[in-house]
Amino acid sequence: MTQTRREFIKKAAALSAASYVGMNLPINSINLAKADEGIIWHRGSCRLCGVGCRVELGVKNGVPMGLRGVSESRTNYGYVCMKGMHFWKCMRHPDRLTKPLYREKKTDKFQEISWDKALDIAADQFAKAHKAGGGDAVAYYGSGQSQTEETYFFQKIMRGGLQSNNVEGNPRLCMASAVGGYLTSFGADEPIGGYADFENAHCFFIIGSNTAEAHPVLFRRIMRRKLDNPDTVKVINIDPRISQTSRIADMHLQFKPGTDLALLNAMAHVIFEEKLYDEEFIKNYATFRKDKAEQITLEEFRAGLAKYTPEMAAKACGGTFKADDIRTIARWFAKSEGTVSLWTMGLNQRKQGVWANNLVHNLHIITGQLLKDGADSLSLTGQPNACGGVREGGGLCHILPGHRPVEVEKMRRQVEAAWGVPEGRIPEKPGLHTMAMFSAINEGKIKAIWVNCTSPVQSLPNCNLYNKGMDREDVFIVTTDIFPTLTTEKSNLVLPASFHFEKSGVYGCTERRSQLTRKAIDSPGEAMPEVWIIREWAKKLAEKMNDPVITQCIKPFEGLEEGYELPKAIWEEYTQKLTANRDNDLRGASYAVLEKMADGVQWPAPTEEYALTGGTVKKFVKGRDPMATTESKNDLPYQFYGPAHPDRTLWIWQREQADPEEIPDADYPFYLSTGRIIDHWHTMSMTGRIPELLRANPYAYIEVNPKDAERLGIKPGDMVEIKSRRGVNLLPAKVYEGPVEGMVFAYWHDQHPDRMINKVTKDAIDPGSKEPEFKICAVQVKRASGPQPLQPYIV
Amino acid sequence: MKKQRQVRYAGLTLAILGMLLLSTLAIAADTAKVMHPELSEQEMLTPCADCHREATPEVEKEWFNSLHGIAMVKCYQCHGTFGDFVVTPSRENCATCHLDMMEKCSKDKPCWECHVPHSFKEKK
Repeated sequence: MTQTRREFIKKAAALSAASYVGMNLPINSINLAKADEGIIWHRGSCRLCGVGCRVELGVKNGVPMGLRGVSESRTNYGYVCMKGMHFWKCMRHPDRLTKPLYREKKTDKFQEISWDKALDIAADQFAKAHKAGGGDAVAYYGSGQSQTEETYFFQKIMRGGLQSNNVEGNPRLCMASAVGGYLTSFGADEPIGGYADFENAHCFFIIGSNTAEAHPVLFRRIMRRKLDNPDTVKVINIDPRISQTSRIADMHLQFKPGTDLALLNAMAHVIFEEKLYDEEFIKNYATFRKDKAEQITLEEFRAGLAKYTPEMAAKACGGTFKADDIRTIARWFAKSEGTVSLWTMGLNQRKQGVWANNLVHNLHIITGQLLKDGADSLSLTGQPNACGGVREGGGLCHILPGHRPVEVEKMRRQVEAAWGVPEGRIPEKPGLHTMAMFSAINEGKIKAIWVNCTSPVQSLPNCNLYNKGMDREDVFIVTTDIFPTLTTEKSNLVLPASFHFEKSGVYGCTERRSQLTRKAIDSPGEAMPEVWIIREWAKKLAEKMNDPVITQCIKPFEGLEEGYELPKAIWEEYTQKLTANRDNDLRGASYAVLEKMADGVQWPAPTEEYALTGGTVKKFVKGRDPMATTESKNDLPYQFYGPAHPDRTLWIWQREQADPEEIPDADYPFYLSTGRIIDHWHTMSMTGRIPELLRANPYAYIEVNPKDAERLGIKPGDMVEIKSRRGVNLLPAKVYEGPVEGMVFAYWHDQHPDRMINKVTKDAIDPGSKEPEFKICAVQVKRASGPQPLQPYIV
Repeated sequence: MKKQRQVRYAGLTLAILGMLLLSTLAIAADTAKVMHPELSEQEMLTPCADCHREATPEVEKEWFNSLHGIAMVKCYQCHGTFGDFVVTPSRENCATCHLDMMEKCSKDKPCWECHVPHSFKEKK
């Protein structure tokens, strides 16, 4: 022991006084999962990741008392993770926003105002902006945590009312490359299979995902499968960083960030070289493509792969593993009775994000590891409703509800007809994608923006740059949220929103599964559900702009009670009118059906009778997917009816290894990668207010490989400066054999100005998906001092 | 994996060493009744396992290699945090995830009568 207990306490006491200035940790209570005296359990979904765990919130006398998993749910079988177990504790936190707050100037102090006044101001500002610059001058920036009804209703008012396609959301930052990958490889967004494949899989190929921390309940299922079948189930983990996920891996390959496209191509090379491909499957269902979808032959495709020998790829990846390791994992992948691939941000948040997705899909198509139980190419979604609300509900600038591209006239006409608005009301041109939207704010081109349920001040890459725009006094910012965030700090108008279980609505998770959460308790203070806020705002907007079309947009919802009847009517309009005969047909998933189901419904589910069976476990399989049958064009068992591939084939893409936007050089010699940690969610506005979760990880730190640490003279706990061409952080060091040598890693949740890693990250985007390359940039790493007292920081 | 065990936690090394003494005293006492040693606010910002890896290595190792340890079900999920800390979790704590077992198992027995604490294996 290097110091006495007395010495330690003395130091710690000196730190603690400062540490808790301004912090408000409420007295905690034990989770009363089974104590049922007077407790009523209300069924819903967890809201802290994309798994879609089914949970029950215990409520007694209007107060939340505990949370438990739902055993019969096929997503989580009763299990919850730590965030899931504890999130209910923030519901009655004293920091909850309970009254509308307004300030004319961003430098003024907020004043409490009435809802009437608040909505009047919001309507006034959007009307004013619209008058000045039309639909281009207004914007909505939403969230994969908003319910589908909220996203759908917001985009309806923006498009049908304000004639603006400036509709975006934070899923652009996390899932856009997965969307691009699915559309270009399979012709349809979202996975073919789902979690049910895990229990039948014999090989898990986990790349660019720390599943154990980001999707813990799914990781538990994978772990169980592996531990129950240690000799017959293989787990492959591909990541520049060894993580908790690696604990169950039979093989972990670490590589130089950004070189994994070479690795994936090399696996395909081995699969062809060793004749491990499924010739019949390829012949029946696939075509080969390059560049902008020009068709090529199998021979041409193989010729393109020729240079990706395992030796070449192992060298390109940094020489951290052997060429034979690639051969081994390619064999495991191809020969297994069922292979499931899983990935998240490690592939998506990349300049080559869509291509990386394509290359994983390639492996499944060439081996036929698809469409059968135990095989799937499954992109794990980060947020609970990025799929259901944003990807399906029209929450991005280029898509309308029901997976409809906005630039296709027929699609716009269908939506306009469903809404009863004049033809031509929805603009043809897609709106601004997220990074372009915030660039337009920097330039003062967008005059009014509504930010709902997310905090772009912290979550945008290279955020120093975009925060300048949000400081502009000529950009009016409205935010709806439950807690103060760094973004509410830059807003003119802050509207208190109801939290999960304080309103009703649907979440659609990773595996095409839609689940309803019904209102269980009242909102604190004057907080209101977003659907009410949108309706009342639009009502005033119609008046101020003297526009009957805006009135038409809200007409079906007039007078409905906001806790249940209003979201139900919105869901009905969306599902019945806009998903009919689309690939995400949700007509059968009515509120009545969703209320009966323990774990919701997987689309396509065209009828209630079918939805009551649980829906479609495997898309595109005749006999298992009703649309595969109705859309059938031949006698083959699989029918790829996705809207993006008119030829109804799966596309195998020639995609070359390409460097990330920024690679280390003499000035910035290290890679920086960022990620998530099990105890926190996104910008910590919720989990930072829950004592268990805050204490488990109170500060961000920088993970440094021990060899690098030794070279740089960094010891555990030392303060380290991480500097890129864009910004700087000062973080305590965790010396850890996690990141590959030459790379440092930080989690992005911390709000503290010194530890907000998105000041450092790069805002280069994938040219197809427009998703930023959060995962890779070049930095300097320098020891700044020995250990320093640190404070948790939540605004 | 071996490398996982080579983790050298940083930043809060002081706390690990400092709490060693009190934590050791705690486990020597009657675990059902004893409270966690009193800690400062700063000390309370130390992840449980960081201290217990040193203070109660056998317990930490048992947990780390258990299903809970692999699946990252951390100490506070069952034991709570300071303010609601319990040495011996109740059936209600377990029920958050294992509600179905609450229905199947004997209702008058604590979970620990049948399951070994921290490894969670069934007692033979």
